[in-house]
Amino acid sequence: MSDAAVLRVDDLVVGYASEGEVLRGLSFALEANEIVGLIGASGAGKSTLLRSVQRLVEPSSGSISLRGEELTTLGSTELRAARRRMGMIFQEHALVERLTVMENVLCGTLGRTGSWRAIRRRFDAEDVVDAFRLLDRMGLSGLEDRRCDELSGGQKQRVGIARALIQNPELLLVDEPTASLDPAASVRIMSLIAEVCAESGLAAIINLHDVGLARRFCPRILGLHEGRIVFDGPPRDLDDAVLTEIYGEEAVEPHVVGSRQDDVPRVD
Amino acid sequence: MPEPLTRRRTWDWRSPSERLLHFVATLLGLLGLAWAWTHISVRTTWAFVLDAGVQLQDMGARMFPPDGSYLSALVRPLVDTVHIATLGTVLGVALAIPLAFLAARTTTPSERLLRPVALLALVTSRSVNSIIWALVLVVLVGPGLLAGTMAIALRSVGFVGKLVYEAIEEAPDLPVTAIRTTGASRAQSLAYGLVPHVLPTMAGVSVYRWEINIREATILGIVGAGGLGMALQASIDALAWSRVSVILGVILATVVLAEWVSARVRRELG
Repeated sequence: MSDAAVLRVDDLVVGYASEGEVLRGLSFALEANEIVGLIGASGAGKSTLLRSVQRLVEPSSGSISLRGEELTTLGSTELRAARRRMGMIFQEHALVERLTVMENVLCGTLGRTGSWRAIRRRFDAEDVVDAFRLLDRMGLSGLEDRRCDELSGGQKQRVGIARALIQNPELLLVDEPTASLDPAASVRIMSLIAEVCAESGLAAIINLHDVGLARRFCPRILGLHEGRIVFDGPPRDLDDAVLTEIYGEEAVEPHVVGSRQDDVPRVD
Repeated sequence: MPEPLTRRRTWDWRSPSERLLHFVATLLGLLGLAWAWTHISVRTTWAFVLDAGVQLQDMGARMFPPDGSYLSALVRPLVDTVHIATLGTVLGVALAIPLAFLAARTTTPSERLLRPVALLALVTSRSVNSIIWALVLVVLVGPGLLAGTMAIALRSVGFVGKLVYEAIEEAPDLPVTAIRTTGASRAQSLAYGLVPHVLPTMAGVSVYRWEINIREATILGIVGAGGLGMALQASIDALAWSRVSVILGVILATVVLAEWVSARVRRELG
């Protein structure tokens, strides 16, 4: 089956036993090279959407397909193969803090490394070369043997990005990559993500709580409100009325959700 | 100054009824203690207790001077004791770690069946003192080092297993999830995401248990399970008090040394 879309989500419903439905019938498609910013209030379902694409939470109904391959019905072996094709970057970087930078990056290759080799840390020589290349690209040269708990927040997030990229993914799922960073570091991380997506023709969904960052780095924005998509378009169409619909009445002051273009700090 | 119109707001740690409850509970506790004391004292032969000072002097006199020549005969039992403790610890840890993974809620493959079985095994191991394990094992496998080693191992499983499974449950789950999203298998994501977090606990707890085991191994011989305890039992039976004092001295020195090593290693791990 061929499909132009990298990711296609159709009428997706996800519920938790404790909270009821979190996603209530979401549909959208993501083309190759496309970077989509996902915005919405806390609890709107942004993280749940990314987690259900990875099948970390099971959808109640609907369909999710990766280049035409249906993900919701995969058995565990096929699911592992599908997960390899989707790199995920986490809010709190989710590194193994007691391991070195290199070990954390090479974790991204475990899906194609045999268990016995993995336990002895015998990674493929090509993968190691690749890891060094990515560390250089992330500006982490020379830190490969450093333990991750010695790194700064921004450095940890770069290791997380390298771990996702070494999978050679077709799609990046990025969950609030700047939540634990200061504004300047946030802009640097977002620039880096945008650049590597452009370099490798990657599609990406990026959850952002900062509308300013979404406007600046995402050519297309999805606005989520209570588990439904209420906006799908370019940043210039994101006006106060739309922001009110996404975030509610009290949010629409420029400095709260950044509905102006110029409130993002510039970093050179 | 004019009186404020509103009443001053007050705050109490406990309400009057809570205070009364605490008072009654404390009183009942003290009465219980007093009752327990009378219970013990009517069953005590006070003539013996009052005599204790004299007996202590007498025993001390018989213990001194210690029989220094006996030291050379203790080398073998001392080595045996260290062997029992060390081998028993290694064996116990080897059994405890798989059990800990079965018992931890976050890693168990079956919450309904395997987890309760593993927990029961750990509780059983802990609830039986190593000297009782040794008594049973001496009957099963005969007196000697093997019975002592197995007793130490069986007692250690529960101790190490419980502390390690608690560490597993407290380890952060986000790194494990993150590694799973790369397409890694469950075993791989635990090996990379979880084990590095619990490894220091595993090592620290094992060394701490080894130190306890040195102490316990010194007395296991009393029931025939080898080591210094066997020499102690023999000397007491023969009323060779000048040897008993030598053995007690050797036990003290060994335990102090083991505690020092254990403290050192655990500080390095921390």
